[in-house]
Amino acid sequence: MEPERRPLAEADPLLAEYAAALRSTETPSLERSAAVLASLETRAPRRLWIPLALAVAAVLAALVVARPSAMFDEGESDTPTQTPYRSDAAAAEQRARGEQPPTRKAQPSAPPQQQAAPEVPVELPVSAPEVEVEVVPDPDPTATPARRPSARQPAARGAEEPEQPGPSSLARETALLREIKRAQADGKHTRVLQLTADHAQRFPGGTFSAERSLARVRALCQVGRAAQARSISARFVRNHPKSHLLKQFTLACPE
Amino acid sequence: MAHRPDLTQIYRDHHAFVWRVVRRLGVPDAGVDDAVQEVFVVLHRRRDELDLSGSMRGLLYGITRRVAKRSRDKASRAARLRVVGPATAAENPEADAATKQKAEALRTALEDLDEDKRMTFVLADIEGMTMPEVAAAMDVNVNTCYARLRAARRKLSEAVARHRQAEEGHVRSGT
Repeated sequence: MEPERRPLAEADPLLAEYAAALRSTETPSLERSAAVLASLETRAPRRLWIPLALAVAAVLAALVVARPSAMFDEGESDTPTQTPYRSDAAAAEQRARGEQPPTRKAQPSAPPQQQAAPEVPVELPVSAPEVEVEVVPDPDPTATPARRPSARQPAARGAEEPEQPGPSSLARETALLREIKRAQADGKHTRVLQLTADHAQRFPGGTFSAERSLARVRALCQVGRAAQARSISARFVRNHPKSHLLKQFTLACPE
Repeated sequence: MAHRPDLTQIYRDHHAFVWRVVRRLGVPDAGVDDAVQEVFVVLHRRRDELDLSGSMRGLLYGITRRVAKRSRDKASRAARLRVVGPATAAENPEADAATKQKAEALRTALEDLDEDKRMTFVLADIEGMTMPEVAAAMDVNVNTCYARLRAARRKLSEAVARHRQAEEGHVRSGT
């Protein structure tokens, strides 16, 4: 005869409260899930990472829709028939600027085949032609020449060319974002500016474009380029009124 | 023949579970992602020999435990070489300070338990698995599991009560 297991909430309400706290604070971040996926490409048997990629795409899509505070820029996630990584508004903006989306078949607006299979996006999110959230490099007439060349200076190995999207590029993008966050945490604002410029060049429509823009706005504000910071913020707010980062952008460089 | 669950679905349903269990098994933050990935790689590689018809979480736990052990061993060697830390805080940034403190208190208390008790509590009371499921996952008798769960709850209960008391002390003394 088995002993009976009393539910924790009944047996020990206080401990249950702490257990609930632990549960609610521990969730793998989207960035981490994406990073796991990205590294699968190099390690997992070839046939494995494709279904996993699709799974992560679906997981991310679900999370982004379900959790408006998720890490990615999902100003566009409120359009359920699309992958969460692009938006009509942003695509329109891109067109308006005369930019060509990356040379893939995807249409700027919701592709019907993705509506047909919303659970498993036809393409990896990492390869979706994406939103340029912020126009970086940011021509700034007020910037001193001494600061700007360093900000333009890309990392080694021909970083001026945008990288081809793919799981491994996502890994590199994630790594770069980590660097940005570290520099930010260390208060190295000039470094943040360098890295975000590098990010914008290498991953113009990257998965973390919004994150990168926010980091840049904060750094610009810190180095006294508030006008530029606010103009980027204003543009983001205008173009992504539903983004979870909206509040952070509006508070990033207060008057 | 039973329908074989599709790996995509398994990943979708369980990657967060594996991620949490990896952390509870003492894998340092920097190795968590690699370990989670390794679990699914192993599952895939061995899918023909594994019994996928039972509790998937139980099966994943078995794999995760072995992967975590390897990962801990490796981490102690790699720690000397690797400078780069984890990407971001693992915690949900939305959680309020009080919730984070409670979570941290319980995490610390869990670390003080031995692995058997800790993981019994984690699987049963955090992850909500049934006792037979937990027993199968840990490859022990159900009664052993009950005993471990009782012991774990008792110790954790003391720890969180102390934490609560300290909290209230702070509030009273206005600090």
